[in-house]
Amino acid sequence: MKGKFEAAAIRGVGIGLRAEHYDHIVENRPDVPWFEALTDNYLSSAGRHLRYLERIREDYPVTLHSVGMSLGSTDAFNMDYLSRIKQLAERLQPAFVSDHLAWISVEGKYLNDLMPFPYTEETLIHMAERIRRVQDYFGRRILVENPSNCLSFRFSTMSEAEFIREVATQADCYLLVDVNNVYVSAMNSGFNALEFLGALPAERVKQFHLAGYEDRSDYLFDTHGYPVHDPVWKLYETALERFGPVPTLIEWDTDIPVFEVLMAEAHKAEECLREVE
Amino acid sequence: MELRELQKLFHEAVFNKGGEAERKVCSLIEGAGGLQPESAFALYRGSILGKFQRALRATYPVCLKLVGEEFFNAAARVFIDRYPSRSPDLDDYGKDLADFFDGFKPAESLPYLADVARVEWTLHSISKEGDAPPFDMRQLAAVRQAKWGNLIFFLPENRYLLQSDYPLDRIWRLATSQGVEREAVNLDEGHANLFLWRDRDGTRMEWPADVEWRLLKALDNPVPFATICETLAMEDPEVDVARLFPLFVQRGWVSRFELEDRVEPGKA
Repeated sequence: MKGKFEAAAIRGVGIGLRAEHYDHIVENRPDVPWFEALTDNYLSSAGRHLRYLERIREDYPVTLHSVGMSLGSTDAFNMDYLSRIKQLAERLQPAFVSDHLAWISVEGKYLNDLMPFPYTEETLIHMAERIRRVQDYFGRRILVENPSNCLSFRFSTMSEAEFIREVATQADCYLLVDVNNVYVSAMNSGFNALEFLGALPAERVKQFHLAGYEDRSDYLFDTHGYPVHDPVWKLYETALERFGPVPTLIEWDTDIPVFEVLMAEAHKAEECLREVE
Repeated sequence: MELRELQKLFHEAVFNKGGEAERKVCSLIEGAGGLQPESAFALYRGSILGKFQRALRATYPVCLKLVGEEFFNAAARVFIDRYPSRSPDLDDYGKDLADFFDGFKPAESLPYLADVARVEWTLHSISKEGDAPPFDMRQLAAVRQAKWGNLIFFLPENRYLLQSDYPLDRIWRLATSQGVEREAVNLDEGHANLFLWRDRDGTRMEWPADVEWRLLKALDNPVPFATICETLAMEDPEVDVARLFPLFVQRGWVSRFELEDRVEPGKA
C-alpha cells in the first residue's frame, strides 16, 4: 500500500523518537531535521504509537531502525516480521531502513537481544546472503549497524572491521556506524578504534549513531542511557573527517530524559558536523 | 564449529546456568576487557533475562502488585525458562502467563491470578489495535423504521468479553487503587463480567451487570436485531433490550450496524 508521504533525503542531526516525547514533538514542532523510529514499536496495523508516528511523519522525514531481522541467524526469515516492516516502509517512505549485524533467534526461539557471532568466512557468506535477500524483498538497500561487543570468539579469522567491510561489499548494502559502539567494542576488545574506522568503505557509510555508555570499571556497557562521553565525541570528529557530514542520530534508550537534553546533544553534534560541511 | 551449532549452544547456555552448554561456549570465547569468559557470557545472559523480566513486569503490573515483587520475579524466572519467546518483537512476549499461572503450584492460593493475567494481556494487546469509530446516529436515522429489525449491530471491532468465576472487578479495583489495599475480598462474593474495547480515548474497561452481559453476548454474534429481541424475550425476559440497548449505544458499546442482506456470510 502506498502512503501519502514522499521519500526525503536526510541531513544533519536527528533524534531517536521515543514515546515519552510524542506530545512535546507534536505540540512544539522542535527544530529537528529528522527522527529515527524504532521500527518494532510500529508494526501493528493501528494503535497509539503508529498514530503518533504518522502524525510526526507529516512534519519530519524519518528513518526506520529495527532489532529483529536477525540477519546473522541460521533460521529461516520471519516473513511476517519482514512483511510488516516492508508495509510500514511503503507507508512512511523513510530515508533509510536499518537493523544490526547480529542474530536474535535460533530454532524459532528468540533471545530478543543482539547476539554476537564469530568473524569467519562462513558467517560472512551467510550474513551477506541474508542481507541481499532482505534488500531484494524490500526493494531497497538497507543499512546494517555494528553492535557493541562484550566478548569475542577465539576462532574468528578476521577483525570486526574487516568483517563489516566485506559483508557490506558482498551484500552491496550501506553501513550505519554506531560511533559509541565502535568505542565501547574497541575499549572492551582492545582494538584500535581509528584503524576500525579506517577499514570501513567510506562510500557505504550513510548514517552515524551517537549514544552514551556506562563505565563498569572492568568494561564499558552500551546502555544508551547517558550523554555522549568525551572520547566518543572525539571519535565522532575523526569519523566526520573520514566520512564527511554523514547524517547523525542522538540515541537514548534507558532513563530517557526530557527532550531538551537530547536537543542539547544534537546541537553539539551539529557543531561537529558544521566543521566538515 | 558451524554457525547453527554455535547459536543452538549459545541459546541453551543462556537458559542453563552452569551447565555443559555454558562450559562449551566459554571455551570458545574471550571476555572483553579484563572479564573472564564466564563473566562476559553472564553479561549477555543477564541482558536477555532482564529484558524478558522487564517485559513481563511492564505487561502485568496488576499481577505484580497482587503477588509482590519477590513472588512475581521468581514466577517470571520459571516462566521464562518454560516459555521461550517466539517473536522478534519483545512486546509479544508473555502471552502464556495466564495459562502458566493456571498450573503454577505456588500460585494455587490465588486462583483468580490467571484471570487477572488474561485481562492484562488483553489490555496490552488491544492497545496496539484500531479504535472503534463513534456510532453514527445520523446513518441510523436514515434507515426506514420498518427495516430496523433487519439491522445487525456490531460491538467494537477490538473488544474482549471475559467472565471470571471470581469477583475480578473488586480484585482489580483494589489492586489498582491507592489506599484501600487492606480491604479484604471474599472470593465467594461471586463472578464478574468484563467488557474491554477501544474507542478514540484508548482502551475502555467496563464491568457489566449480568443482564447487560447477556445482551452483550447476544450482540457478539452477527444476528438481526429482531432475532435478538425475540430470542431474549422468549428465553431470557429479564434482559430489557428496550432499556439497555440505547444505553449501550450511548456508552460506545455498539459501534456500527449493517443491513442483514449486506453482511457477508461468516463475517462479523
